Amino acid sequence: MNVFYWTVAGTASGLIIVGLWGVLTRKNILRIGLAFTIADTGVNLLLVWSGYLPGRTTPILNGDVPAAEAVSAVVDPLPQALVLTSIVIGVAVAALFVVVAVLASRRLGTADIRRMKELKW
Amino acid sequence: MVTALAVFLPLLGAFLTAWLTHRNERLSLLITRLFLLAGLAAILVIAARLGAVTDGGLENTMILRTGVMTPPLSIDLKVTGWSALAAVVVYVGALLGVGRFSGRIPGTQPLLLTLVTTSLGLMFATDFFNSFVFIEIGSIITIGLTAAGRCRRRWEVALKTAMISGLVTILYLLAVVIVYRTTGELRLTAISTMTGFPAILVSGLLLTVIMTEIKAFPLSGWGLDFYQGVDKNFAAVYSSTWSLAVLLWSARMLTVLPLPDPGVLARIGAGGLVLGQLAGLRQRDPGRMMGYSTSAYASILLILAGTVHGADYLSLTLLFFTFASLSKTTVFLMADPEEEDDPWKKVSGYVLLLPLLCITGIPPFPVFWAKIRMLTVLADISPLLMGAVILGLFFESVYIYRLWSSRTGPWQKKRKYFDAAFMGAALLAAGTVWTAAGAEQGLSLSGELFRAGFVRDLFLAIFAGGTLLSLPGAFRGGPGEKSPAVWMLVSGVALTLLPLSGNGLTFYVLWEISAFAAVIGVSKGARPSEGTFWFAVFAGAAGYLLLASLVLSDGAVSSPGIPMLLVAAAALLKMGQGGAHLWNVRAYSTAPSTMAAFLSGTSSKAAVFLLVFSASAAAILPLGTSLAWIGALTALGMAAMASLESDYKKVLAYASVSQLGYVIMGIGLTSVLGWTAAIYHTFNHFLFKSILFLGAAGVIARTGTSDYDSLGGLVKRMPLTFTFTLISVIAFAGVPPLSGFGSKWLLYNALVEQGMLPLALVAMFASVVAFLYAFRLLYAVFLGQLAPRHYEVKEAPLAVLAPQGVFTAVLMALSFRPTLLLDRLVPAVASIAGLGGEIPVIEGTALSTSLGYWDAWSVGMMVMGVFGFAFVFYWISGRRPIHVGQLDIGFAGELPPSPEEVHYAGDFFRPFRRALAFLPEIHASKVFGGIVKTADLAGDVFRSLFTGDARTYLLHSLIILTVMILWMKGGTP
Amino acid sequence: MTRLLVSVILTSLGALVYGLLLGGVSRVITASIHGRIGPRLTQNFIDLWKLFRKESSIHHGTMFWMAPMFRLTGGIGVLLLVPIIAGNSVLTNMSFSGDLLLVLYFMFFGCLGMALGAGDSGHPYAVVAVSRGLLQMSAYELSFSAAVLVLALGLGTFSIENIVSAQQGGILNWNVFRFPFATAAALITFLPMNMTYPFNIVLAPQEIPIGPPTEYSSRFLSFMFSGRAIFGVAKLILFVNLFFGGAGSWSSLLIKTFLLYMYPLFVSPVFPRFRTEQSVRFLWFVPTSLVAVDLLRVIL
Repeated sequence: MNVFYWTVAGTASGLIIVGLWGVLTRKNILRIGLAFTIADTGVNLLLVWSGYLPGRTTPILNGDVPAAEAVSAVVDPLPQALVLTSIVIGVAVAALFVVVAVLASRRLGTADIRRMKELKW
Repeated sequence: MVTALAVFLPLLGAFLTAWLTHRNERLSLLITRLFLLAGLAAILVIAARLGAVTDGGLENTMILRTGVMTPPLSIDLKVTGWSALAAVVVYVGALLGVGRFSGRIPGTQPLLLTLVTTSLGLMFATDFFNSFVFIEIGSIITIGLTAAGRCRRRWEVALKTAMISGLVTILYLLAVVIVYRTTGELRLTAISTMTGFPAILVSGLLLTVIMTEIKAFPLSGWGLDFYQGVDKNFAAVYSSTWSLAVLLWSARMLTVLPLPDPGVLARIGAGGLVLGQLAGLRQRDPGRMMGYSTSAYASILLILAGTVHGADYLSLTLLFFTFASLSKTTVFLMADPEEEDDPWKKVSGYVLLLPLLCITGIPPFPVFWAKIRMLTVLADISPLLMGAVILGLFFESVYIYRLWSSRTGPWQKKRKYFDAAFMGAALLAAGTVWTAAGAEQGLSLSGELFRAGFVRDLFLAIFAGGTLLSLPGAFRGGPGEKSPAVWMLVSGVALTLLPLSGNGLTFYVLWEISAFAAVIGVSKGARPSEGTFWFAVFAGAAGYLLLASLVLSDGAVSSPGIPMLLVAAAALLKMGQGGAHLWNVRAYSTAPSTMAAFLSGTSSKAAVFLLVFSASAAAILPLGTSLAWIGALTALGMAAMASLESDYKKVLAYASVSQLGYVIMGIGLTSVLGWTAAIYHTFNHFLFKSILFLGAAGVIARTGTSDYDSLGGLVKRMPLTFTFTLISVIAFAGVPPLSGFGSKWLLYNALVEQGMLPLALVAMFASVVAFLYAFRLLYAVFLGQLAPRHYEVKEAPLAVLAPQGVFTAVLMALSFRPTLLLDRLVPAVASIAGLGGEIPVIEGTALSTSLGYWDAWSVGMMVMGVFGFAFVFYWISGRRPIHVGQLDIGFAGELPPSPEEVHYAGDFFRPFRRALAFLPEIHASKVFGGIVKTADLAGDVFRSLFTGDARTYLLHSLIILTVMILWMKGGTP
Repeated sequence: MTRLLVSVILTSLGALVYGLLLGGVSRVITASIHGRIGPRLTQNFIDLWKLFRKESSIHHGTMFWMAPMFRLTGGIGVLLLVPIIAGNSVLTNMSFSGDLLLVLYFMFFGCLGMALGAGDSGHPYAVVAVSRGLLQMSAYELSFSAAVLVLALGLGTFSIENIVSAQQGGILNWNVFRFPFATAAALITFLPMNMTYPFNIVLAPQEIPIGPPTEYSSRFLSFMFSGRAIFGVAKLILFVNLFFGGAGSWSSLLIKTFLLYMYPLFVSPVFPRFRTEQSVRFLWFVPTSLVAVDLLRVIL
């Protein structure tokens, strides 16, 4: 049980670290976008994880979970609601990022972030 | 209901315009405006209902439930009087910018309207997840609108912004996870109860998020790039909407962060302010300068959050950020986005003046009131912190000045988009009046900051008289100059009110107004850039020193100790003493000549006034000897420089600083005789330096040059100017019977009385060296050979001649009857507490001390008598000679070459230069150039953090995050 | 008032005669050093009369023409401000109107006027001489005023009369013995003040024909001539008053001033001429260091 719990946390943290690592080290802006998505996934996983209560079931009120006992039987539903929003927003951001990245690389003739440094100092 | 309208009306408009925008652009724009106006009306109603417009309603609250259930299942918005007022600015900013931005780039109205709603949402949001949603939407719109702009570098900006917001999302959500996990709540205020490691983690994460979002140094890199590269019209909208919203949200968050020690914020802010603004000094790109200024305000937010609490915090943040945002919007509205390198290239300095002054917080503009309140609080906590903040603000004012001063464009009346900018400026002006009227500390011209009495009235007469008499000549600038009359008048009126100010704050406000008006006046010169820059920098430094002193001594202009030291430093800078002459020489020589006359003759006396009045004698005493030595060495050094200089106006500038050295010497003696000498000489200097500079104005106006080598022989063409100049030269050289000797007599009596013989020797040496430049000035300009190109030169214009006549009349009266002044001055000075030494005795026209005596009237009569006798004797003893041509000289039987070749004026005192050759060359310009270079170098070091690679910026954030967490971890057991 | 006027006129005339006479003496002595017959003792009177009788037919401008009057006024003014014989109430002339400081600064009056006239003449040589003269003056005034200030500080007064009376009662009370170094410095500055070798860079024969008065002739020159003679006497009296115990009687006045006048005559012929910057540097450092010795004595 605990193993699962910490595995999820570990995976999430790992995703975040891998994502940030990618963001900081990749040069191609599309790959950077991809790295962001990875990190984002990690964060979302962590968000779901934060509402997880050991030994409880999904927060869906059906025959298995009587409404009266729901409070003590299901995991915290709030993070699950939040993570939906977060995923949606994440998709929007990722889409926008890709658009910007593609257009930028077309305009600038390169997808290498090291060459997008006209503005500095 | 009204609340909901206020927030969501723009969103409604967004849906409507999204449908309309490609069908009917004009209608769409109109609808955008209508919705914004309606929203503005709604938010105004709310603000009024909350009592925010009148004082004290900032904390009143109104809750807006947008769902049927209670949080967290509904979006719960909380409107306070504080945020309602800020929301007004959001609407105003959007209204001002929409025409310029959306009118130019079709299809952006829906996004812009959504941005307004999002901004309001963020400002009113009460829980973490709502804030998250708003932050994300805001970022998306920002990226979108950036990319929609029309400038070349928008893609780079958009990409960097997107990457930053990606990182912010991750860090922010991590914080949310920890908060929810630990407290089980999502209210923003919930975190304040957190403790232990989670609290540290959350603080670190949120602080990094906040610093990145508000662009606080060192996490400001992306913000600088943003302001540099973005479409300037979008920046106008952005400044007042999203940027302001983030600032206010951060302002709320910073107060609830569970930091072990909130003072840390102030230290981070102050450090960032100094280093970040130092980096800004090197900026040449105006857009980037605006970015640095934004970063300064971000640092200010951190400082405020760490030091100020309660109602003060609310009002200060509001004052700072709403006005700064509105000013920035106005500045950006004036930009021309088509000009990539310098969007303000075609804008006149005049129109940029008001918003830029607002940004720098010069009194009486609104930010100033917040600034001085903040500094007062800081002074109580840590003077060091206050000093750092003042230094940072000084740096900011330097590059903002640079931004302003490089504008040379004409008025842009015809450009239709300028209306919005003017509207913004008008709103700022209204805000200025409103805040000044409501400024808590209150300005007052009544009351008695300075002892009423003869000395004060004397200075009043100097300020008023000097302004009035310098003014007539200023209406028409000399060759290549514009008229500085308006600014001279503003400066002069402020100066004149100076002695009447009822409290320290009023004094400071008037001082600053006078200074910045003078800076603008100087900028009207023919070659303004360098001179004005140095003047602005030194005047700014003096102003900030004065401000520091004011704040440290709790509103008195100064008190003994550090405040006195600061005041003395300010006065010395203002008078160009001890090496600070750099600005005098550069500004006087490049300013319009009449402006130079005003600055040197009249305005410099403000510093004397400050020293004489602000400081009790007891406060000056510990500094006395050092002051006296600074004065003496300045007098000597500047006299030598004046002798070797070949530019008319520069010579006068050196001479002016040199003469003021005597004043400083006298003040440093802190004796009755010393101060009498100082004030007497101040009045004298006022007279003769005004005459000299006005004379120079006349000469330059007629000949178009101030170079000794090209002048000469003008006595034949400008006899009146020569006469006035001659009289004032004899006066400042201290030759009896004219008034300058009185100053010298009093000063030597004071010096020998105090046993300060070495000082007296230096003074004596300075005064004989003064002969060198005195004669050279008269000779090179007026005597010798008249150059053929000046054969047709006419006498100086009446507008400068008549004032010289008035000054000369007063000078002559003072020369023969110094007791007219001394009769009143001596008792007045003797009554100043704390001055030691003997009081000179006046009997009839004679003045005496235990050391010696002097009777100006009888000396005058003797000279007139003997001279008159010689004159008459010559007249009656033979025929009058005839006047011959200028080249009819005994030239060893040869024909003299051209007049220019015979006129010996350049490098006149070459042997003097040779005799001085053993001295190491110390140039003030090198010293200050060195300081500037060092600052630039240091600035470059910090600037090099911002490599332009977006990944570096992300790395900065992560490093700061790690450092902060480790630091706080180490700080708590 | 009438007494004052009479005294002023008589003093000025007396000083003129005495000054011209001393000039004659110096010419005679110089001639005998050179082994020439030389001019008569009264040659200067004859020269002055000759110059005065000649008409000046041209001038170069107002300042040019007023300069000789400035020169004369400067000379007479200094003379009148210095009390001539201690205790003689009449011969104090105008000295009640100012102390030593006034005299020091009034000494510039004539120089400035002269310099302006030279400038107005438009002749480059005249101005070259003025630039040299002003430089040298700024240098010797430094050490001279240093010496004077040491005196003033030591005796606690700027009043010449008080300085004289402080030296009464025996030769050892003279400032030359009380302030030997300051006196030595002042005596060094006496040479450039009288424009003798090695400091005669202003008139500098062979280099710049005759210095500032290059363009002046006849009646103009006679005014300058008289002014210079009177100024010379005034300086002699000032030195006697400051350093040599003042004059209690006519005889002591004549003896002391005559001896003082002779001093440069016997010192200067053995020196060549300084360059301007050499002169300036010499005057900055040598006499001023001498004064510093006495200054330290006074302060400590």
